[in-house]
Amino acid sequence: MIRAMAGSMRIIDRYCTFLVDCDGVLWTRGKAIPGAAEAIKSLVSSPSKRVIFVTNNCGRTIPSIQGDLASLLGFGDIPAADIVTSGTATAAYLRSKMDVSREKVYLIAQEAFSETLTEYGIPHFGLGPLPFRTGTEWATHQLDPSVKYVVVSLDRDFSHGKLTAAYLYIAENGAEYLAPDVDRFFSAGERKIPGTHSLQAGLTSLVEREPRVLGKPSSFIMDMLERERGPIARTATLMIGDSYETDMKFGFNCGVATALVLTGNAKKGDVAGFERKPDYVLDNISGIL
Amino acid sequence: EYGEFQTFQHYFKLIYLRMKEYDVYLFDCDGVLWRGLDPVERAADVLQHLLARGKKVILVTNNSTKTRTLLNNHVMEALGMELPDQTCLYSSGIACALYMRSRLKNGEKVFLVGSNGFAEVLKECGVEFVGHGPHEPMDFYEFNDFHPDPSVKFVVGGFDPHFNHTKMAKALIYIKECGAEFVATNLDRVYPLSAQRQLPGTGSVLAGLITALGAQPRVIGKPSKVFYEIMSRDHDNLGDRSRVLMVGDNLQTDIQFGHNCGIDTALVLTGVAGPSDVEESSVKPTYVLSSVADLLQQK
Repeated sequence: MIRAMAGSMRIIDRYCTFLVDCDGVLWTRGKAIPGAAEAIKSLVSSPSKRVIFVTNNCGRTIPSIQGDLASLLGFGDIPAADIVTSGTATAAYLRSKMDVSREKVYLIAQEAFSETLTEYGIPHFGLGPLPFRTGTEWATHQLDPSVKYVVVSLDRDFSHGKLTAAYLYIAENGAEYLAPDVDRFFSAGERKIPGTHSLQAGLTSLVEREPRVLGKPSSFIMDMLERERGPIARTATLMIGDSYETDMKFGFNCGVATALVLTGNAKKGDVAGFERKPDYVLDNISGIL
Repeated sequence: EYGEFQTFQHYFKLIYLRMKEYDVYLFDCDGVLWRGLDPVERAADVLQHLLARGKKVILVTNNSTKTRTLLNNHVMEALGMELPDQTCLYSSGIACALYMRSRLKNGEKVFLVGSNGFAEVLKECGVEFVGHGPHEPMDFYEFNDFHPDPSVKFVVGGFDPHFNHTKMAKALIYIKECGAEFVATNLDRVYPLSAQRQLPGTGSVLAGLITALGAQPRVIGKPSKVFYEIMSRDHDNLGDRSRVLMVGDNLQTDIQFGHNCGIDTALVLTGVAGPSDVEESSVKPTYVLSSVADLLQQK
């Protein structure tokens, strides 16, 4: 592989491995972003290039992302191995550490993440609303001693009760505190609603430590990909994403090149305020062509 | 001024030699006058002694769930007496309600993140509220169709066992989009349940909202001096701060409160703080008493 000189070549020609975020890069809320199909086509059709889809949305299963790649962009045979979510990263971490015959996970999440854990053979519970408990009931509540991991991600059923359960498992059981992501907001169309980080904030201050982050911007996913696929040359790798806090920082942490697209989270006016500039700022992912 | 008073033993000597005269005594309750429903020894005698000598006695607790009626009942049950009037009873909840009431116009309301007890406090103070109690969890995209109530001018946070993501998201919308003022009774990290276990407190409940906002609420409870300003509206003799003494058991809330308000403080050892806490704390009380009973020595 000839390492191209910068300046004269297209961005796509300068790298071998492309890590591509999905929301805000390829599609937004069920609609393909114009130019995305073209960009991905150039990547998947080139034998010397490979693309890996890396999303922090653990509320999506791999099959559902494969479904969108097919129905929105026309790529019907992207293998599951080329897609990573913060959910599958967390599941892989748990599988590498847990004694699944004796240990369990207390999970604060939505359905898709629970499905992912089940697929990976990770015993877990906690999905859905927790019935209300009074102070007296909490005072005498017996914790399940096999819970050694607490995972906190975005959950519409997150409540004071669930926060309490998570706190007690960490404080009294010594459970490890894990986060698939630390995203500050979830974009519900026009409105931003509190994201995973908001659910973690109270717990983090109670247990007086930060969670171990498995998704972006932690470089865990990169380490995991290398374990599965062999060494990935960092200087020949480009991370393309729409969020500075997750995608660009992930790129910085992994030592790869970074391209920020403006079709999602980040707006042009934000760029001046970044403490570190991405290597490229593109209006659209088709800018790599 | 505390440079001279380094050792704990020194404090004990000072109380009998140097305690000034005060006109107004502010008392924290739990760990000072009572523990639960059990009185601290001679607490009732102390209050009677001060009242008989024309001193003003005001109770100042950070427990946001008690109405004035309930506080009054607690005084009766624990101490077998009543204070001359209920305006001498304050909790962080009551202070919060009064703060909002003074700023709300007719028909304006607050979005309440709090307990049933706090809801009763708001009712007692004549503050109208919406959003109290459990909220049916909303799917994230449903928030696009949420229409906030335009009469909401405050979001008020206290300990809320019904807190959930949906409530947090609505509170965020009221503050960010509607410009509602964000106030809180306190930001305690934990709520002590028993000797063995604690629950997430108001601070932990509101942490997510605070981080999403990137801004803190105006905290009304101790140690905020806003609490003092609210009480001052109803009690003129709080104006001369050199004649006011705060008596409490907690260095971070009671004694810090005294510092923030520029009044003298007395720490009692019948509650949260012990002698080593005084040594280690950067916040030093003016006096240390073994209990409120030491005040019977006061002229």
